[in-house]
Amino acid sequence: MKYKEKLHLKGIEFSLQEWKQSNNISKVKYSENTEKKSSKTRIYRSPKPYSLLY
Amino acid sequence: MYLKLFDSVKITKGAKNSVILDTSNGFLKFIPNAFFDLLSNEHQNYSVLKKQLDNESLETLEEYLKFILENNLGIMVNSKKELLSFISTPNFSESPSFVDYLILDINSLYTLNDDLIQQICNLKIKYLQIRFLEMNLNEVIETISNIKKFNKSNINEISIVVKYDLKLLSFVKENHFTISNKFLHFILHSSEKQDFQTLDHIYFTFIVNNIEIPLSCGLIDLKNVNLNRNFYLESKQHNSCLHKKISIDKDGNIKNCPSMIESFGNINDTTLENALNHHEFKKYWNLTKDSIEVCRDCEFRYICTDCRAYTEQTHINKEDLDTSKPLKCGYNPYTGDWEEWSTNPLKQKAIQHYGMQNFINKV
Repeated sequence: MKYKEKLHLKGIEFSLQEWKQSNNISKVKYSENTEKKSSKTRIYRSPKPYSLLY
Repeated sequence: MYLKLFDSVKITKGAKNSVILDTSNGFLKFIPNAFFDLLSNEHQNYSVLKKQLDNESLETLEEYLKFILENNLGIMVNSKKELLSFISTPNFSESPSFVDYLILDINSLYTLNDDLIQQICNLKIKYLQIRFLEMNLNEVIETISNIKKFNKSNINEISIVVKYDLKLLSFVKENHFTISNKFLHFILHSSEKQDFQTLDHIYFTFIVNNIEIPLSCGLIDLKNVNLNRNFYLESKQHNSCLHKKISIDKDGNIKNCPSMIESFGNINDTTLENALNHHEFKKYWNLTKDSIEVCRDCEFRYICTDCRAYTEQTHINKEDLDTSKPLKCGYNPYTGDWEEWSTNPLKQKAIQHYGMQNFINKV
């Protein structure tokens, strides 16, 4: 019977340990859309920034 | 066994890294490109794959799947039939209006007159940003008092960029119910400390730095990436800054962006609608990051905001559009490193072209 070589995941750029250490993108701010006056009234905020000033 | 990522979860591959993000909760993390390749093949049968992998790769795969399940980014499904029962991700839905965003730079009490207000209302603008240049406090207050004329318009939100002044802040706080019935966002620059406050329908952001209009614009930074679902979908099909945006600079010139040179008429002798109908006005609206040098290899390309006003000025495409990387982006997708953009030697020529040397020194 012919020996079948096991597959290796291709293109693993760095080890699992390196990935776990590097996978935090901590600077990103995220604001939930919690600006609800009530269940009936909702404030629609701009989905994209007007200008990137700061 | 198949892996189904939730509809809010998006993945993007870059030259060195990939990212996975969840537009429903702001989750954003790097993943290896090998992981991206696995995730992008939705029909990958993991039961079969596990039997084929060597031990090292199997351990890696188990970690990948654990990462998805523990972070609530997707679920395992048993059969292809079950996998196909999920509805595919919808594309970006165009709003029915011709234009949604308007940036208005004001350096005179007379800019925001009744005629312009009527034009803005007629165009059914949804998001208005008013940016005050050097004006005395009384003129700023008088202009702000004028925005109540938008109360019956389609506008959802008015953003106001103005230099911090305690008297102005007091005026707004004391009169917040009569100023406008719209959601207001005050960005008060040159403040003593960075902060934010809310007061009913008004949101205040206090910025320590001085905002210099128009040179301050176009700052691309990790803190400015946008994990909004509509933004992500829009970015895949349109320019993430200029699509459905119209601007009026301090001299009344109607442009795509106040920082850009090209003008499509002046507000004193043409209407916003006429400028919008100019055959070249929308030429950048569909230029996506996939067509912009360097950005096309960046994993953040669908969540960062583009800038066509200040670029590295290295590439022009066949349609005569500037497809160079934004000048104020310090990310290198080929190394995965962020660096200060203003000191990059390769950007100095463009910095000089835009006359930004003094501005950079002040910042």
